[in-house]
Amino acid sequence: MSRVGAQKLARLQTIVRERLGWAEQLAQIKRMHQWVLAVEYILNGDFAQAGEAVTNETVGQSLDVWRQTHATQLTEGQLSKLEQACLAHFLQTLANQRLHLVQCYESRGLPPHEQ
Amino acid sequence: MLGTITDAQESELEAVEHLWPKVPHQVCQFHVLRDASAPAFEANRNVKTTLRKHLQRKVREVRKQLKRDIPKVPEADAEQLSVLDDYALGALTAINRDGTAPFDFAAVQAVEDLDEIADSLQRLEKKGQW
Repeated sequence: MSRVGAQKLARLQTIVRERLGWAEQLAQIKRMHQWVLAVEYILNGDFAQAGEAVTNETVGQSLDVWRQTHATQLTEGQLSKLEQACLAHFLQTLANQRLHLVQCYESRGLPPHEQ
Repeated sequence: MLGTITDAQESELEAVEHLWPKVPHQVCQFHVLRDASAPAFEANRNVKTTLRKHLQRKVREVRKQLKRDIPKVPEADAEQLSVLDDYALGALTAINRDGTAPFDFAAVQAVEDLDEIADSLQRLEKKGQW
């Protein structure tokens, strides 16, 4: 490796390494991102085993378990203020829409659910 | 009428429930997840913006230096510098990509991309040659 190449490589490494200064904030963002992916997983019915029916009841139950589990996290005091605020909003929105959020999984005549 | 779907506007809900009271009404799950994750997505956007503001100028400066040096060095060295310029461009792309709510959090993806770039640069350093 040439001298100038080594210098530029080291400089790039130093710059890219600076991302580690945001590690804590990014860990929070990743955890919050996981909430979205987890609820999408439930609403997709991906939790069901092959051949197992995906119904309003099974999806609703899984969603409610997830909501309850995360509602307890709000009171355990282990979340940052940002995560608390975001999770509270997330759960409140789900609660507001819960009635109509899981309605059409077993309506006859609709295209079958694909997993 | 098998069912209805709306984006969860209250007025729309009332209208479809009035028109088709016995038909199941589903709110759009994409809209609900987007609304539910709005503050989290905003936090993600803030982190990504801060990261971009902090790193972009520095990476651009390296690219500027590389562009200046490449024509002045022997061909073999120029190839090395071109490879490094590709890495720098990759880093710029990572910190400038925009996510889309609710699923694509740009800060998460940007840092995963930077992690890969860092790993690859380390392998390059250990190997000592291109």
